[in-house]
Amino acid sequence: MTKREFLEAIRKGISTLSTDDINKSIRYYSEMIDDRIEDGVSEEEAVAAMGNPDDVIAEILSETPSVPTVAEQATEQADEKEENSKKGFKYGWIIASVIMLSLLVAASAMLMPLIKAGFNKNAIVSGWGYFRVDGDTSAVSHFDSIRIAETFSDVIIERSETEDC
Amino acid sequence: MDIQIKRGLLDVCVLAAIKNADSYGYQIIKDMSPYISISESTLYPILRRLEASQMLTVYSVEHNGRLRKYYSITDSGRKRIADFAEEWKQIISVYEFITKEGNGDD
Repeated sequence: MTKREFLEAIRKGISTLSTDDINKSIRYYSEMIDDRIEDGVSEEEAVAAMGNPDDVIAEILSETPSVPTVAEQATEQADEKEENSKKGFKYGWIIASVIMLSLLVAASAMLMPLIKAGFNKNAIVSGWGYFRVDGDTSAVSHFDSIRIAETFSDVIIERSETEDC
Repeated sequence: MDIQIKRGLLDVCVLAAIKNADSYGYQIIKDMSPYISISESTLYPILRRLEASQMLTVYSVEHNGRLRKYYSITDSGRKRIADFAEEWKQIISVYEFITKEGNGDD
């Protein structure tokens, strides 16, 4: 095996490490092989002295402190999941708020004529609804028009079919 | 040698190999070899560990058109050797107890 082949095998085997750790390891073994060749052995022999590439890879992976263990990775993934569910929860709230807000807008749009009518005496509004008249709650099945007199509590219903509660 | 005992010894041996002069990887292995065998793949994590615990520092020197890393012992590294020598005195007394002749009635 040539030096180049050996270093390539190592680089591939430890590719999960940080770039810094990969480069440090490659530089170390490159220097070690070069020093042995300089000492008078062949490239082949110098590479063989480093041991089996798989063993070298296993040694680097087991001894490099920055490598997250399987357990740590599992914890990280769990954290990520929790983070995502938190995000989901947050989005849920945003969606709920938007729905509530649009309901509020719709409700106020429906109430607007009545509110306007409240300020504008003798205005005519029409639609479905319940009205309290003279302290009694009367169900109004349908009214074509109501005249707002002095206040909301004093509503005069005109041309309406009134049902008892 | 027992692998556990060897592991404990290697760190101090590497420090001892750079105690008198800064040295580089292959030289450290050669200097240690008459006493204790160590492979390149075993030395590498030890050097990194000793660097991380600030018992040695690393610098690069250009050599034959390439960079060679030199390792230099720190005061903490020297203290580690001194502590080890102190501990070893206790180990020697344990050794004497272990290898003592007779049944302990002398």
